[in-house]
Amino acid sequence: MWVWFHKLGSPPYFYRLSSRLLPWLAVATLISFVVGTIWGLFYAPSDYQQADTSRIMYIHVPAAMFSMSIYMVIAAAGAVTLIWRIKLADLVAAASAPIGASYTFIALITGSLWGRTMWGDTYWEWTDPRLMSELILFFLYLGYMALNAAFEDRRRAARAAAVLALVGVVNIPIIHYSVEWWTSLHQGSTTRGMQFAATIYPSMRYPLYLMMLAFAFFYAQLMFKNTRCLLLESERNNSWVKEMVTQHDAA
Amino acid sequence: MTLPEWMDFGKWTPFIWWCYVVTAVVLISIGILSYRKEHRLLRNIAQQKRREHRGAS
Amino acid sequence: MNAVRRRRLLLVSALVIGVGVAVTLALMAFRQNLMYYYTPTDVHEGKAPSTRSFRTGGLVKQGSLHRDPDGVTVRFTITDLKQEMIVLYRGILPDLFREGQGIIANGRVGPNGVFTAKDVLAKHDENYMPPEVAASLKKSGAMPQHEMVKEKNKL
Repeated sequence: MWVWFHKLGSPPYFYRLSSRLLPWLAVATLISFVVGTIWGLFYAPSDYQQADTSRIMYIHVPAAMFSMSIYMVIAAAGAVTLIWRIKLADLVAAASAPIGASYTFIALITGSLWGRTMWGDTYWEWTDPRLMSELILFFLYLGYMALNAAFEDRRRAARAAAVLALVGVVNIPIIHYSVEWWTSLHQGSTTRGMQFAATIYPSMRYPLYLMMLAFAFFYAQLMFKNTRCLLLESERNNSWVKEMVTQHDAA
Repeated sequence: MTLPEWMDFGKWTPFIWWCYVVTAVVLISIGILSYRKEHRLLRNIAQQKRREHRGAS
Repeated sequence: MNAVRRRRLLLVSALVIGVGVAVTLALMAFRQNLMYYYTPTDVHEGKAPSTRSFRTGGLVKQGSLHRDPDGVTVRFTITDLKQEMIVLYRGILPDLFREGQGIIANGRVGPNGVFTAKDVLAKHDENYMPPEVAASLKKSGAMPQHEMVKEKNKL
């Protein structure tokens, strides 16, 4: 386990591993997105109260869910950066931030449009705890990316950003439990203990699972891509990069 | 000709379409950005390496 | 794990726990301000503000919806299954508004205990199912309760 961990921390190994994984991830992302979207839009039944508007769920729920999971990845990688000073952990965190910010943006926009159709004459409620905590998550992502870009020295940037990410972790349980601790316009969470999505009827749950997979694959794929870019940028004068480029050229 | 029920796009509000369109635009753009960035970086490094070779010989 | 890393691990844990405790305390102190709406029970117990407008929420009681002869004024009763409150509203109701549905009204409560709403929003719950399933569940009486009347684990 530790050997594997150390091997994964080595840039050339990570680069080779991701080269092998990326084509599969691209195919998996494409298939799950296409099948999930068609299933959710055309074949899943409409809801008894919301009619077809419930189809927004198939993008809103995965986007919102992974906007939180990706933040946890960034915070965990931040802790590894601060404690073990593993450079690759910091690059994975920095590579994840724009994807997480995009998911948060999608969750906010689709939530607003969904709310406009279901709640009534409003796109946004400034005093609602669920809406506000998700908006704060969006600003945390923006702040994280800005802090990363603000320092010339990559190592100082990494440490400052990791501290911000760890401070912001407190917002994640707040988002999740906001609909239970306080009263909210947003509906309750679809998780019942360990039973995920238990309040969603099976014929609507399966396309939702597929869309969750699609969002997860998409994240993994772009995370690898972005990390590779950051690796190439920071290690462009190292011998392994030059050798690899030569092979790339020859091919 | 009557369309099968599942092809009747008109029954959905524009809001549903907007959600899917916004999501597609955001995801496809960040995807294209990442892929193009790596491509450009690899090309730059290869060029730099060729320059260094020429300088050395 | 060497001493330097152990110290860093402690510092990182202290940071996360410290921020967590501080935010928890702050949230508990401002708990009332974070409530999006007050239940009829809250209003009955005098927890809701009496001088400014606030939001109240509950289920629309079955058979309580009445439309005044002018066609735009509606009155209905909302309930959290403990207390009830009459709501008076002039305007267009959201599409999802129906008896048995959860709603949230923004307005103020008069001395007669009637809540005059400026706007009304519908609150759907977390249960998603096809119409046929909902119909059969209703028939068998196994329809899950709307979340607004379920007991919540409060902070």
